[in-house]
Amino acid sequence: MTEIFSGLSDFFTPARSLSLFRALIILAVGIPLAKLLCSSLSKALKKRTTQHQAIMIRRISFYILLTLIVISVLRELGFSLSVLLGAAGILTVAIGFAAQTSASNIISGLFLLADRPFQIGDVIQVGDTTGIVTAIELLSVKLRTFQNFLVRIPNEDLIKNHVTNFTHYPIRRIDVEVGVAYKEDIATVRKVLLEVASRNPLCLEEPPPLFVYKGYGDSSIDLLLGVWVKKENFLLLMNGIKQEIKEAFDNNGIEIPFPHLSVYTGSVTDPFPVMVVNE
Amino acid sequence: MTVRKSRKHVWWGSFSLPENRSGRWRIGPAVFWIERLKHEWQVACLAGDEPADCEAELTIPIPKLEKYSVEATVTRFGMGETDSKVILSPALADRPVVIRPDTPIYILPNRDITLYVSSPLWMRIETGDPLVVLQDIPVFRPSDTWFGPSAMEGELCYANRIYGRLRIEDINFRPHRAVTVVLLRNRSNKSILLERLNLPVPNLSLYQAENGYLWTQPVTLEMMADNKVALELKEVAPAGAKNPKLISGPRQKAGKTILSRTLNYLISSKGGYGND
Repeated sequence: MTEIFSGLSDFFTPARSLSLFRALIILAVGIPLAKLLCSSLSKALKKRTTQHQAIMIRRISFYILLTLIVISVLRELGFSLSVLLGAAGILTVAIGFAAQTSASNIISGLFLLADRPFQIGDVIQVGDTTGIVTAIELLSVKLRTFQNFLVRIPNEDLIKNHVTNFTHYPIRRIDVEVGVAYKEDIATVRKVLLEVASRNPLCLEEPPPLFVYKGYGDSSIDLLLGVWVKKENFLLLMNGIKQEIKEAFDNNGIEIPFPHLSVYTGSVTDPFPVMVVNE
Repeated sequence: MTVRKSRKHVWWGSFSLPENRSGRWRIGPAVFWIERLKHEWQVACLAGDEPADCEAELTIPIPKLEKYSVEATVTRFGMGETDSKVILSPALADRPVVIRPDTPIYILPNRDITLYVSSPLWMRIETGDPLVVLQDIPVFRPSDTWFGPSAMEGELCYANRIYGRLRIEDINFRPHRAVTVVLLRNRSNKSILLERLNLPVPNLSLYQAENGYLWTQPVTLEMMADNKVALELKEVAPAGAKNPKLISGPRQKAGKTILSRTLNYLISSKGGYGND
């Protein structure tokens, strides 16, 4: 026991204790100060940058300051900077081989920062996943799906794959496909559909609603009504307009046909026997 | 019970409601009920389609047994103790309104035209001391619309179903609308086709004339040769209104971006929206 105490007292000479104390002060003051500086920088740039850029600037500047703090602490503890840099070089090569994916994600993250295909709060689709962007990090982007799942997508995947941003522009179009019976007068159907769009206040008057005669389906004439909406009202109009079309068709006697199936037995075969049953 | 069929179109003002009683404001097919309870206010609203013409009818308070329609949208506002006073005031829309002449019209080079337009009103309900806004709702909800050179650039506005007119006699004053006089000056050397006009009503003040009609401050649009439009909003009452009284100031202060814009942000012929 005495040996341990004597060993410690030998190690903690007054000069060493002072260095250790200084290193602790640098850490204790430096890290909160770095956080404060980075958050002030982010706030100062808030008006000029997007939320995504502000977060990245805050993080990158924090990591730079943290590196400087760590170097200062190590120097204070008596480590030589040139030896440290040499070791760091070797370490970088080793880490580079081991962490290729992470490095690729970080670089992809920087490209995303410059490209800005989406921001926090946007609704995007990547592959089969659709959700709201909740965080854009150095390595990945986090989405909250509409089922309230958290999906983490590596930045590399976002650079390599198609990303659809549904909320980039303030307005978007809803395409409603509808089929009507062959007997219907298409001019009347068109008028009814456009009236439905005109009556709904969420449906934008300009750009005007789009009416497309899509073609002749198996059981119906296929039509398309494209209505524009403010992006926030998308779901509200998506449901509302379909219900209103059905109601308008019912009120105007326009038939939405079920699929029809005609069974033909061929010219040389006898027709199907039909029996009329009177009750 | 006060029943006021408002020939003067006036449905706004300061009203006193006893506890546990309601008042009813009918503006054409739209009906608003305001109920005062001990610890809450309830505002019920039954919207309808905007009529071509209508009158305002106020019943304050309504008989105790009369309840508001089950189809009405009810909003509740809780507070410690409710004050008997409730103030209703008209306000202009919270977004610009897009107006059109009945048919597109050319403004010839170096000529002026005056367009009279009416835009929808909002109902602002306030109570308490100091006053707190309970609701700020449209009397009739106008349709949304987009105004800009493309579906990517522009701004969200309200569509106006009532056309702008070249003669003041053709304008009907309605209790749910305010009239604006828009002077369009073509200072360029080419004719400009006026199909739609973006009227920045959130930047306008609202005035009440002696006869109860509502007017906004006049607007002047000067179209320059370089496709720029200078918007002039003078803080004066409109010339057509007799003994005007300022009712409410602008919702937003007009910034530089509002006062000087390119032509296609204020006046438009139909643009390509990439609809196909």
